[in-house]
Amino acid sequence: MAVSNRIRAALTTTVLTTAATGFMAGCGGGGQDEEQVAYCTDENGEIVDEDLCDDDRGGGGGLFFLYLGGFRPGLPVGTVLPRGGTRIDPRDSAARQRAGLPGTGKVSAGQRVSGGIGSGVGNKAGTGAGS
Amino acid sequence: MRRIESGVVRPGWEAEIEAQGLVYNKTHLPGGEMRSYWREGPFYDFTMAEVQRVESATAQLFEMCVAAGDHIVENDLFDRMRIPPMARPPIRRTWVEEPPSIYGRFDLRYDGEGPPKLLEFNADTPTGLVESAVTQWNWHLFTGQGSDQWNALHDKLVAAWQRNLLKWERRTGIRPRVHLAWTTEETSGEDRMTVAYLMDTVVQAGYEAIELVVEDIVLDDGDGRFYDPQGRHLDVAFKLYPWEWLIEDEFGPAVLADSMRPGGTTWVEPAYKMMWSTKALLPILWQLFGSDPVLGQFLLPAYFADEMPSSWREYVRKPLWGREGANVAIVRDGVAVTEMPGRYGTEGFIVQEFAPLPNFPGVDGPHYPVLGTWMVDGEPAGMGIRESDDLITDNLSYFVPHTIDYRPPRAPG
Repeated sequence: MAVSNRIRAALTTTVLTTAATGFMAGCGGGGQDEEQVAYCTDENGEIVDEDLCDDDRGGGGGLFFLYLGGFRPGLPVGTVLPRGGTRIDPRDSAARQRAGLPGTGKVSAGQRVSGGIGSGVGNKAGTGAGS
Repeated sequence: MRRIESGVVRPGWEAEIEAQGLVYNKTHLPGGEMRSYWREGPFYDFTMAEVQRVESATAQLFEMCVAAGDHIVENDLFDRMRIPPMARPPIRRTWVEEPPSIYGRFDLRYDGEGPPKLLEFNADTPTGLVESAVTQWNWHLFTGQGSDQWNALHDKLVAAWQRNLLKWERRTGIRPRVHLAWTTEETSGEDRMTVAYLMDTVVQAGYEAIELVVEDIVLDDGDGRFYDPQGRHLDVAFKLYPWEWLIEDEFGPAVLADSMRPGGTTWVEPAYKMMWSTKALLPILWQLFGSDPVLGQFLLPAYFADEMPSSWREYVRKPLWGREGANVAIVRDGVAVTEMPGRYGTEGFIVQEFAPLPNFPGVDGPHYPVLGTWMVDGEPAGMGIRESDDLITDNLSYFVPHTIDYRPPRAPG
C-alpha cells in the first residue's frame, strides 16, 4: 500500500520558502498584497506620538510623516520602522486620500487602511485561528 | 507504535526547518523561556499494519461524519448545536452542493494496541500542516530513518485543488483565481506559512494563487460582492479563519448572503464545516454509532453536558467552540482537577469519556502523543503527531515526526 508521496524527493515549495525567508528577515507582512499600516514617524522612520502628524494641529511640517507599509499593527512609539514604506506629508490631503487614509485629522497608530473581516468579537479569543 | 528517543540529529536543523517554512518553531513560554516546537532526534515509529489500522479508522470516521451531517441537516439539530440561524441556509446549501473542500484533521488517541479513538475533528481551519506535509517529509528523506512515512499530503493536496477547481470551472465557465487569506491577529507566522504552503499546492495544481489577509477583504456595498484590495473579485477564497468567527464579524451576514447568490464567493472550507468543527459533533456521532460493534470502537462516549449520565464521575468537559485546548477540563470524582484557561464555554459544553492519552516516557519525562490524521478531499492523506508533557494537548505541545518500519542501525563491529 502506498502511503506517501509518489516521488521521494524534497517538495517544491517556492511560495513557502520565499515567505519563510521574508518572515525570518523580519518582514512579517504579505508581499505585494500585504496589509498596509500607517504610523506617524520622524524623518528617521522612528514612530512618534500620532498627534505630531495631526494636520489639524499643525502636525507634519516637514519633520514628521505618515509612514505607510506592511508593518505589524500596534508597534510602540520609539520603534524604528524598516525602509521601503511610503512617506506621506500629513498636510497633503490628496496624497493621504490616495493612500486610503482620511484626508485630514489624526491617523491612529497602526490604522488599517482597508477594513474587512477579522475585527469582530470572534477574533478575540486569545488563541490562533487554526486548530 | 513506539517512541525512538535517540534518532539522528541533523547539523543546523533549526535554521533548516525555519528556512523550509517552520518559522514558528521557537515557542515563547509564559515564563519568557524559549523552546523548540519541533522535536529533533526523537520520533515515533509504526508498523505498516498499524498505519493501515489508523488509516482505515480515519476513513471510517470520515464516513461517520458524513452520515452525521445528513442526520443534523435532516433533523434540524442546529439549535442543539448552537449554530446560529443565519448560518443554517448556507450550511444546508453547501451540504447539498458540495463546493470545494480541501482538508481536515482528526485528532486521535492511539496507543498501538487498541483501536484509534476520535478526540475531535478539526474540520474548518486545521493547522499543523506545514510540519506534517513539509518539515517531517524533508526530515524523513534527509535522515533516511524508517522505510516510509504516512505522508501523501502534498500529492493529495495538489490533486484536491485540481479536482475541485476544475469542477468549479466547469460549473461556472470561469477559470477561478484562488485567494488564500490569513489573519494578522496570528503573529507567530504559523497561519501565514500554512497559507503560503497551500498557495504552492494551488500553483502546482495549475491555478493562480493570491495571498491576502482577511482584514483586507473588501466588501463592495454596491454589489454586495467581495474583492481584494486590488479590486479583483474573490472567486474562490480559502480562509484560515474559522466560520464561527467570520459570522460574528461585521461582514458576516454579507459573506453568508453573497455566498448564496450566483457568482458569489466560494469559501473554502465550506460553511457546512461548522457542523463538524464544533464539539457538538461528538455526542451526535456517539448517539448514531456508539452501539455499532465496528464503528463504535473508534469513538469515545460523549454527551451534551445536560444529558450526561448521572453515573459519570470522570470525564473531559469541552466547550462547543473551543480551540487549542482552551477551557477544556478534566473532571475526576465530579471535580475539575485540570482546567485550561480561555474565553469559551458560554455557548455550552459537551462531555467525553476520560481516556487518558498513552504515555511513551523518555529520559526527560512522560510524553503523551495525539495523532493528527489528515483528510484531503475526502481521503486519508497522512499523519502528524503532537505530544505534550501533560494530558491536555494545547498550543504548547511539541511536533514529533514519525516513520514506518524503522530498523535501528547496527552497532559497529
